[in-house]
Amino acid sequence: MSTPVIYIVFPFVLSLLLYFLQKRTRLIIAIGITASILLMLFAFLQNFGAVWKIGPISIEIKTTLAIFGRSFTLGNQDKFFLAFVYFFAALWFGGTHIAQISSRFIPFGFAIIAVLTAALAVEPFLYSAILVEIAILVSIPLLLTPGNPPGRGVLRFIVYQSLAMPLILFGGWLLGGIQASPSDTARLLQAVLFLGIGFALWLAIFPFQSWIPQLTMDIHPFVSGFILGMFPIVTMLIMLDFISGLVWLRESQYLQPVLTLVGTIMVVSTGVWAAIEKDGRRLLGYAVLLESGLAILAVSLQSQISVMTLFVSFFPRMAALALMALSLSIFINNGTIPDMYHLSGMIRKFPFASSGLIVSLLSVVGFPLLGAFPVRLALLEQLAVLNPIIAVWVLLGLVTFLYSVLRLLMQISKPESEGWLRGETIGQIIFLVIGILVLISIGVFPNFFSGQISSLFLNLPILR
Amino acid sequence: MDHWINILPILILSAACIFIFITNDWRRILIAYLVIYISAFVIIAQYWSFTFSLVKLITGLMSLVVMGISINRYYTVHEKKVKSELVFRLIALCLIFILVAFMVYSISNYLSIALEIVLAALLLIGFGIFQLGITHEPYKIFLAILVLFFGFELIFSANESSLLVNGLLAVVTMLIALMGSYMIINEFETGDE
Repeated sequence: MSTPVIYIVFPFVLSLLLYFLQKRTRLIIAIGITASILLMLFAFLQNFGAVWKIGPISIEIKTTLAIFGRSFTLGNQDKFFLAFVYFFAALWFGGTHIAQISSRFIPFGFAIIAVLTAALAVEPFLYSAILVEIAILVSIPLLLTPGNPPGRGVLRFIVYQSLAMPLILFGGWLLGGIQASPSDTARLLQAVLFLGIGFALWLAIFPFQSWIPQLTMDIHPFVSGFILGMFPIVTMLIMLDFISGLVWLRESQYLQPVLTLVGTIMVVSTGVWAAIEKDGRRLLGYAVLLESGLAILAVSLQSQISVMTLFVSFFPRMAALALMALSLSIFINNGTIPDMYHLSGMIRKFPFASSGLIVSLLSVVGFPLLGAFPVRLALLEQLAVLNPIIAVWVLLGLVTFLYSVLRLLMQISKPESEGWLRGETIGQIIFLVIGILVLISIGVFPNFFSGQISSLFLNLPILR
Repeated sequence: MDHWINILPILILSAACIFIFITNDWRRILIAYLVIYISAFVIIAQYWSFTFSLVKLITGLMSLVVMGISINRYYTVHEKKVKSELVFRLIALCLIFILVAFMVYSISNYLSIALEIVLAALLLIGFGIFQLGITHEPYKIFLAILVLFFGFELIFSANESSLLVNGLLAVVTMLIALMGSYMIINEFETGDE
């Protein structure tokens, strides 16, 4: 038995089995949640590479699987990713029924996670590009509604993400050729340029970010939360592995200024766009872009603490995204378009969903005592030491985003009707309250939270 | 060029690209894509092993068939293009082809790949990117992605002969066609989410 079999082959086979059980919704959800929790616990508790002894039988948990001469490796350094991904998969699969979306979300979700895990595990790095492209193509059925033409955002998502594959493959191939003669700086620059544009397309980095708000407008918020939660994080981890693996790149004098500039532009431009935005679904897209910009800034700092901050920030990021997606889903499922006009006074009709939406957006901004506050504070402190001007610009981006959230809060809490109603179901309320409490607890007890998951951070990528 | 006769498939390939831009009939568009794949096959078969080239051709043709079956079932109405649109498309495509003609020699030298292959690949990549930029119809977008990837494969597979990479690229090509046809079918299906 090997970890790639457990985390790549098994979820993929399970996704195929669940696909044929689509009509049995409850069974699919139960299997989905149980399998995700078991896989998460296995990653959290089991030492990869250890031997299990059951009487006379001993089973070694190998970390490598070889296919056609290439290897898939999932060692102890990947435990963070695996535990994280399956924890949120369990949350998302659990919310399928609550958000009233098709049960095919679970088999496709498993297939996407399995292929993305394979992309992270494969050696050499070149193959990751093809596997991510396969994951993107597998996600297409989730983005479509029967009887409706695909929206422009969906088409752009496919085009932009697909364009990344040839660029990364070609850049990776050029880089492979250079290893024989590392002094060829011209070719080195070309390889980095191809790879840089490829990663920018994957991560929706400025100026390739326009499709994200369009996509969130076109598809169900619950699905967009899942897709925009998974893909940018996995591609970010692939990028970190890539930077960590090349000494000349991480020691390059250009890496830090380029990443800092791009990250700052992303944060500021996203803040400005969000400030004039009137639709909650598009705000979800801007929240993802803001998180990506801040993640790039964390990478640009190239220190062990900044990498740690980045990895810890994935938890409040996913929790806020899940809460935001669920809140928006509740509005949409009840026939309310989540824009400024229609959300007016909604706190009296959907008090929990309205609170969930506002709390999640405030958490993304880094509002005090909410989930992302400790990581935003840590990032700003480190940025201020490195370059105070950049820290001011980033703060400006966050403040403009906060303005947009406060505008939404004012609109949503208008006293348009008398008396209070409860538009959400009990199940939805439970999920929303848990989400809000999780974000508050991460914000109030950051050390307790990071202490619980510290065992997963033993082998982080080295950026300097 | 190693063989001047190769100018013929390249001219046919360019003509097919131009034809795709001036017509709106999906049957003719698919036939033009078929011509593109066959012309490129004629070129690569001279440099790569026959079986390897055949794999690329068959994968491409199969993806066209998969797309064609879905388009055949659902698309019937053709809109006529206005004259100014045609002129714009032709001029833009000609500019791309001129740009490719200027770049091809240096890229061929740089990558040490035969001029014919690089020229065919760059023409397809340029055509694919332009098509992706101006069209909104899902089936045209998927066909453009297919041809863009095929153009890229012509360059990439000339140097990277790994069985696994090329096998996975074939899987990607087939998946694009499958998802493209799924998208077309889904648009005309009735049912609730």
